[in-house]
Amino acid sequence: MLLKTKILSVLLLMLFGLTKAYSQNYELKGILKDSVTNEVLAYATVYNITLSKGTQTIADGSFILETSNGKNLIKIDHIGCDTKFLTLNFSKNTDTVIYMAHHQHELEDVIIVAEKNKLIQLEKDRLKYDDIVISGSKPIASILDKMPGVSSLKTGFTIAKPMIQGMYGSRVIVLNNGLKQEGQQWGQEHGLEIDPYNTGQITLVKGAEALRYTGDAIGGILLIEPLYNADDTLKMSMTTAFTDNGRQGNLSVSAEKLLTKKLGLRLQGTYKKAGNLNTPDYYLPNTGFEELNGSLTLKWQPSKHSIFEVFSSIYNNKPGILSTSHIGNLTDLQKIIDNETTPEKGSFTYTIARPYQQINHFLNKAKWKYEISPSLNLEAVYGFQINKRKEFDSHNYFNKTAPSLDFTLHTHQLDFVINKTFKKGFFLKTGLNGYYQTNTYIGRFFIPNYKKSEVYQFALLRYKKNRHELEVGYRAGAINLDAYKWVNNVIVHYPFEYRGISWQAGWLYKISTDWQTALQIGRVWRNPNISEQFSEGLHHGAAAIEYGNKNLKPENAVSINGTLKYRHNKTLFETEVFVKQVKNYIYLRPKFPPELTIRGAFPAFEYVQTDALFAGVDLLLNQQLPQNFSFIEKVSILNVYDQKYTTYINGIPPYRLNHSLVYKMAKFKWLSNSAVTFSMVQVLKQKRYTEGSDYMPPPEGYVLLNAAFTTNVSRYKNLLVFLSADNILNVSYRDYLNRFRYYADETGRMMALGINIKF
Amino acid sequence: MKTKSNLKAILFLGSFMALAISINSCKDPENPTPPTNEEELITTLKVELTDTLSGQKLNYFFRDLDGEGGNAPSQWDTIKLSNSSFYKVSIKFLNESNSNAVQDITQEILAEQADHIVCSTPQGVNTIITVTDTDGTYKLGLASTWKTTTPSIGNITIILKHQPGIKNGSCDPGETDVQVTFPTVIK
Repeated sequence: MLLKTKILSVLLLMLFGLTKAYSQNYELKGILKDSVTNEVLAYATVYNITLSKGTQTIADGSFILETSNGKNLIKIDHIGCDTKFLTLNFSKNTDTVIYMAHHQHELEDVIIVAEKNKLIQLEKDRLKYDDIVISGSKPIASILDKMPGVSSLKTGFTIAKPMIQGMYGSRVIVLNNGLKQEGQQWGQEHGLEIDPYNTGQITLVKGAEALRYTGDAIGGILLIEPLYNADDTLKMSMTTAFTDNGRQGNLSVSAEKLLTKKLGLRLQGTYKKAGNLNTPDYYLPNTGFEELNGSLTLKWQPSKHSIFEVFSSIYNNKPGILSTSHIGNLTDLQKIIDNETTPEKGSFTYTIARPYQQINHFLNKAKWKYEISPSLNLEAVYGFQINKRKEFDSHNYFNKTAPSLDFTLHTHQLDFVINKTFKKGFFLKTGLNGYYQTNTYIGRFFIPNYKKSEVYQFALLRYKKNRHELEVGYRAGAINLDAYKWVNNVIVHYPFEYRGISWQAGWLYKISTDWQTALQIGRVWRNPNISEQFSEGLHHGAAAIEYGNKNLKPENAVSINGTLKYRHNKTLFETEVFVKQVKNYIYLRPKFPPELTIRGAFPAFEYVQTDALFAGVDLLLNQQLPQNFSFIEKVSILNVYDQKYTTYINGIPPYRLNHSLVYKMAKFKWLSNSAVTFSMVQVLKQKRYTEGSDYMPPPEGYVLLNAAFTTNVSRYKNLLVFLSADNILNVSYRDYLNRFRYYADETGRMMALGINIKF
Repeated sequence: MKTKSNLKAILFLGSFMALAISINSCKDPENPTPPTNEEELITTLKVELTDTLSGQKLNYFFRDLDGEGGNAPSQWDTIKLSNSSFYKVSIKFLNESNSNAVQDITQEILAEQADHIVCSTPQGVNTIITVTDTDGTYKLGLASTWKTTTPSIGNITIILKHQPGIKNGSCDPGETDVQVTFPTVIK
């Protein structure tokens, strides 16, 4: 009973030939199939939680699993599906066919991922709830560091945004429950306004899949899918965590239930509060934050063929900005860099003083999916987002409580999509997609106001035959941008128009049951963003004057990537080799001489274009060793070449390796499913740097030792306890991808203790 | 039956969209006239000198009306002083970005004098600068006396620091709000 209430399965299941009991272990022989296409599902993980024994389906979808007499809780994981739990009764050896009905569990439909035909399926590009929840104290982008090839670009210690294979900002698109997350992405110091505690899964998508959502994701798309698991019983969950460094406390609660057979509801809320963090040697002044988030999911299935979904979320965050980073001029910066002003030891406080930011993000989604026939369905999505961002500089002379900078961004989105499955293995997805966005600001000028409308048409076609899968897609679009600002008491308009086509093609070949390889090739374009065009002025905290360029041309990227995957018994190996050539790559280049201002001299930077070549390798190896040990190796290697100038492009992630050793204990006294992970994160020094192109050369490489322990307390099967320690050796280091590397060291040892209870 | 549920569905979706639109229309993003975005700038540093002997008044300026970046400073004077003289000096900070509403930032500095310091430092010119005002604990620096000796050429740097809670009489801590180096000649 307890097991049954634990987690649901909205899954079609058919079992044959179950009869009565003997008290011994049995074999469950099964085949996993898609209930619509009747295709077998290979490489799914089938795990008997009751016995702590697992296996995988092989190429023909079959598996053999050990079961015990009586009730067994079985967990099935298939890429492209959420984890499923089944409670089955066994009294003899059993043969079964388990159907996973994709159109039936539409209530849990999570956009692309539910289209399990997704071409490229690599484990390295996925983060699951278990990985996310134990790191929920961190900003969501920092959690993504766990994926090879993904890093986070940080501003200080609580603001982070994702970077994929060296691409960031407008080149990385984040889809929050199917909507393009619209904040002020152009700014480095603008984090991602998403609550990790409501996130069920994060997937990195490249290739034709992405064209359904966007044609400008040169780096890739991060799909962030909120949790939703409503069924007949009321399910509540509570997560709390506490960290010693920063004395951060988190509390997240959720409740979900099918109110009627047709209507499901989930409510969720999170509160986080943290004070000043500390490095091994001193406190980081003004690095606390306070966050309050909430979300509501409503899914209504009035008939078998029709589903409505409403998702509303609100995110409110007030992060303090390291006060020593708000420097007046280059002399102040140089003093800090030369360590003339040794950082004071400081002290702990929860108080957030100026400078700080205040961010509110309101996201609303309404989706309707209608199935005309099993092979044809329609989808309509309306999205509406408000992003408010206030930045409070260290002080104002006159209006002392007013923000120095205040942006309001409104975005409307409308999508119409048709999904059609043809006979003979063809699948077509086509549709229209429109955006309307306005941005207004009050205060210090950084970017102008603007109105932007975008219209796109896209189509992608997939074909599957035997060992081959092919995929082609395009997305054509037009963008109209009207930027306007006050110049001498007159509003001046700057109209822009962009048109372009992005396309992608991919081919997957299953070499054998163990090996598969894929090749993707494509061309995408991206229009220059508003800050690249218009920024003009002093960037506080960066001690730099930045100049945009209205004449920038769109970026054009041609990319090729090849992947190889090997999975056999105890070994999983995945690698991706990529080359991207970005024509008209936009970046900031130093401009000489420095500019003289009333605050003193400042270095100036301007947005320029070059041709850049990004080439690299990402790798994941997961090798199970004897005695319940396993070894996991993750490698990210990237080199960037400027094809026009002899200088290097700054801000490219250095090589990164992560070696982990995991020990799993199925059962130890009253603990079950325990895992201990020791990992060593090794980040090398970025040597591809042109002398003098930054105030400070890239910092030395570093090695961090982390550990984590997670366990289920068996007496209370729904209690998950996690304990982690980052930077165990309390190493002082600086990270090249942290813009505050000039001012302060990274945080020292950080221990976190958390529990997750489901009831 | 099926039509009925579809109708319900459309009503549901429609009402949600209406709600979303009504939330949105609370604030009209179409409004083409954005606020004029008054910025808090320090555009001007004014050095007022009075020769205590002759009573002659001299004013020297650094002016950059559009703030940091953009156009170059429009005025950047060379301070000219007589040798063996004694000047009373008063330093002023202004926001002249809007010529119809010049703001005197000096008053705000006076109001928050415990959080500010002004430092004037000669380099290569033979003058002795003595600060004559205080915030009660530490020197403030808006008022000073400059005593020149022999003819020389160099410069004088004037720095305004914001030192909230960290003022210790030294010019080192804090955030630099103004830093101007005036070329200076003593004849």
